[in-house]
Amino acid sequence: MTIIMENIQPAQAQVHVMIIGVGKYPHLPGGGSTPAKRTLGLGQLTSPPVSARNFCQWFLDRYHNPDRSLGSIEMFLSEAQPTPFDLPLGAGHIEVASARMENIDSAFYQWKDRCKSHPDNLLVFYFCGHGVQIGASNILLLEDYGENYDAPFRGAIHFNRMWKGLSGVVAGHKCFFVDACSNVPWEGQDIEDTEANGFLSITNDYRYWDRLTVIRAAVDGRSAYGRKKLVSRFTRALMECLNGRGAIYNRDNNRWEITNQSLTNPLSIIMDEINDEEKGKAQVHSPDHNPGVVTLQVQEGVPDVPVVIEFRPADVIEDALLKLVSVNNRDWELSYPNPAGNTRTIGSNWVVGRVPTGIYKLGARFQNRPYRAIEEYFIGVDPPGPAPSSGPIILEVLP
Amino acid sequence: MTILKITIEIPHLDASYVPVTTEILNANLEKLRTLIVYRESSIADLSPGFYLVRAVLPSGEISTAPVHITEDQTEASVSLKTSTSPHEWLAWQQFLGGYRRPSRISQAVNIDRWDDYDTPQDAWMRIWTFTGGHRDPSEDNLPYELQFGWQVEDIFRWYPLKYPNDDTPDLTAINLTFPVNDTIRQRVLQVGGEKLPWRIILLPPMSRIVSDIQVLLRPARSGVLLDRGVAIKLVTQDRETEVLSHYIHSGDYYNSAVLATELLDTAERLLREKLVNPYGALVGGYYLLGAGDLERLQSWPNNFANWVDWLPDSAVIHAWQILLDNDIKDKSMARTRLIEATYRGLPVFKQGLRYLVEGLQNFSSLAHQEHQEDNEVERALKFVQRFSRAANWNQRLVTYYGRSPYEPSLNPVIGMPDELPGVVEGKFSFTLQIAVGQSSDFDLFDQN
Repeated sequence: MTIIMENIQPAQAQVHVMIIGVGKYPHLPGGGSTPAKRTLGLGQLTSPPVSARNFCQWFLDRYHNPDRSLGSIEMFLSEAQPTPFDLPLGAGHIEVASARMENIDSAFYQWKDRCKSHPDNLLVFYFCGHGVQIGASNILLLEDYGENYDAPFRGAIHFNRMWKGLSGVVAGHKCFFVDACSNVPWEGQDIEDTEANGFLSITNDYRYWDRLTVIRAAVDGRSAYGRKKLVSRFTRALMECLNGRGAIYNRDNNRWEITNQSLTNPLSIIMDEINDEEKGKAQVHSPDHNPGVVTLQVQEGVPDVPVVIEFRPADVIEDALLKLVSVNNRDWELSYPNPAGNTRTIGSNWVVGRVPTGIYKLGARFQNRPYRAIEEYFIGVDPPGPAPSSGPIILEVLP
Repeated sequence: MTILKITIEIPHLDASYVPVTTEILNANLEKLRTLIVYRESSIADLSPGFYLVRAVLPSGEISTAPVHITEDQTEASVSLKTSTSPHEWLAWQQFLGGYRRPSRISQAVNIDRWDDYDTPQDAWMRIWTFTGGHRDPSEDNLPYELQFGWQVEDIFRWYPLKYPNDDTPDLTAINLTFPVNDTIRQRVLQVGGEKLPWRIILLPPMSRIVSDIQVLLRPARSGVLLDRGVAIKLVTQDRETEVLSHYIHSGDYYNSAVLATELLDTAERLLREKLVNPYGALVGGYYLLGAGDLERLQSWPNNFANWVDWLPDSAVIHAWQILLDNDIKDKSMARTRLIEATYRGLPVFKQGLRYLVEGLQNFSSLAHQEHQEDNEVERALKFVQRFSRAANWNQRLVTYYGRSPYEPSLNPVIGMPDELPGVVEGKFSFTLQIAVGQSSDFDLFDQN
């Protein structure tokens, strides 16, 4: 068990997080131990432990939610070279337990009890590593997958049973983020029962299913991706949402919030951006369940949104003087070119950078080209961007 | 106070019939109102200031437009523009997200390019109709294959659209038209080819009023071995139902809430009047289950399951209403409905298949925990798992691979139907040329 932080306040609603990142699979090719009976075409990974660490770090550094303070974070990591996790505020570092079933099994029930301790607690489960789909079930592979030759899935989590079981006993909202493939392995076609661990008995008690978020990084039958030793695509997109691009303004509370509902569409848009940037195969995530509304993060201040403005014809901005002025905040304006060099043009685009949410006036003058100046053109900048209109605005400049 | 007129422009589509969830935000981007706009709408009583009007489309595209209302204005207007489809016939698919243009920012293309594949091969399509079902679930003597009476349909007309297409040779669309006097039944589309593994797609249960289904073949965005680079997207012309259905598919319950209320009102009224629009009703039902809005469901799922007694989805929706309703202590009716659903055929929607499998699994686990075996549940589960294991779960409509609707399999079946014994090529089967991809291995996490 590795409790990264714990600050239990039994009288308050809190968030209790379990994070699992698996990169080292000793019984898969390249793992150095006896191969599993079914290797499922899988191998060693490097992105999941990095992704899990980053997700954990995000909670420590950036999580802010007056409705639910941070109650506990528990993490399990399996990586080729185990490295201690640095605790915040120079509090030293901690050895992280490996993501083996024996470790997770004992910690799971205590985590579940912590989540149950208050009816408005928020449960967050995050997994990054290999996943497969057997029948209609999503199976998450732990480090000891394949260790038992005859029952390889003893080292795996039966994800469907786990979230269903928790949904029967944990009253508060439950968020499950699974950053793993959901491929259907040919080697798994004949499996009737994986014997993967779902931790809890299934019941017909569905009383808490109305507070549930299940989002997986890959739709069934498809892959999730991550660059080697870097944060995976899905985790990047998720953290982008949590950092503001998934925000929505809550008038009742007078604040910008990221909720399970507000991040749904931004997550798709950001996944598309990352797919585009990575230039590999597209990854399609799967929002499986999302009833109820829960605030995951409260934005401190106004969220920043990336802004890209495209000009036509393409050469018009080669010698243009551009200016963006906030309507909401008279102190905010940005010019191009400027001495700080904090904004740039690429091709026909003014890649403005991250801009606080709001309404802006755009002005443009074209020094040596025969185009009409733009004195005042209003644009709206709102999450998730790139604003406006989830793509660059296209300004056709008239001669 | 000013009246703001909002106009939505959807190139190549008559926006009068297309519902768009639209929000009015103030200068601080606080949401003031949410409304459904059919081409144009007005809101009154806006005070002077800056506003942002924003629409989130079912494709995920967001369209925004700012508007500045001054002190002396009595009327203002704002127009939201959505992206242009490269072809008029592709506009509805693009609006729904069935077709996406490459990113405008980098222009990088992340799809399995048609050009990467072999030369075009022959492919074909045909329709099967379910003629079985309606048996007493207690009569369990026949093997399921025989209980399932599927016939190749011979009453449909096929229309090739814009094919071959010089501008976009990798896109093909076909319109499927149902006869006006047709009885609504469960049907599937089967697509296969010389190198294209045969796949089966459940067709939406169409009302007699809005009956066209467009079948789009386009390059797949991510590789699945059995798709061979070809994605198939089906949409009906039922504008409201399709918009809601695509919002649900993308998990966007937030933007679908207002529209769902409208659609359900219509579906309920039609159901009461026995003028059934099963497609609208089942999409509305899945919305309410997904959104956890059980109070809104009330008694209509039971009526839906009884009155549309050939549709598996209506039984599944009623079963899950019972399971999720904590006030209903006796869950036995849910068990009955789930078993009943398997006798009716297969759910049309992916969510329905998942609900069916999960519901049966739960009843099976409950019996096992009491060291018993529920034979009826086990039979139903075994049956439905044959399909769920051969399914492509990424599709909105239930899609699986196999030789026929009752022979699901992940072992690829390729070729032309008349080469195979026992499979009759319908006289209205349509042969078209599509490019077929080479086999690619499953992609694994971390391979980038």
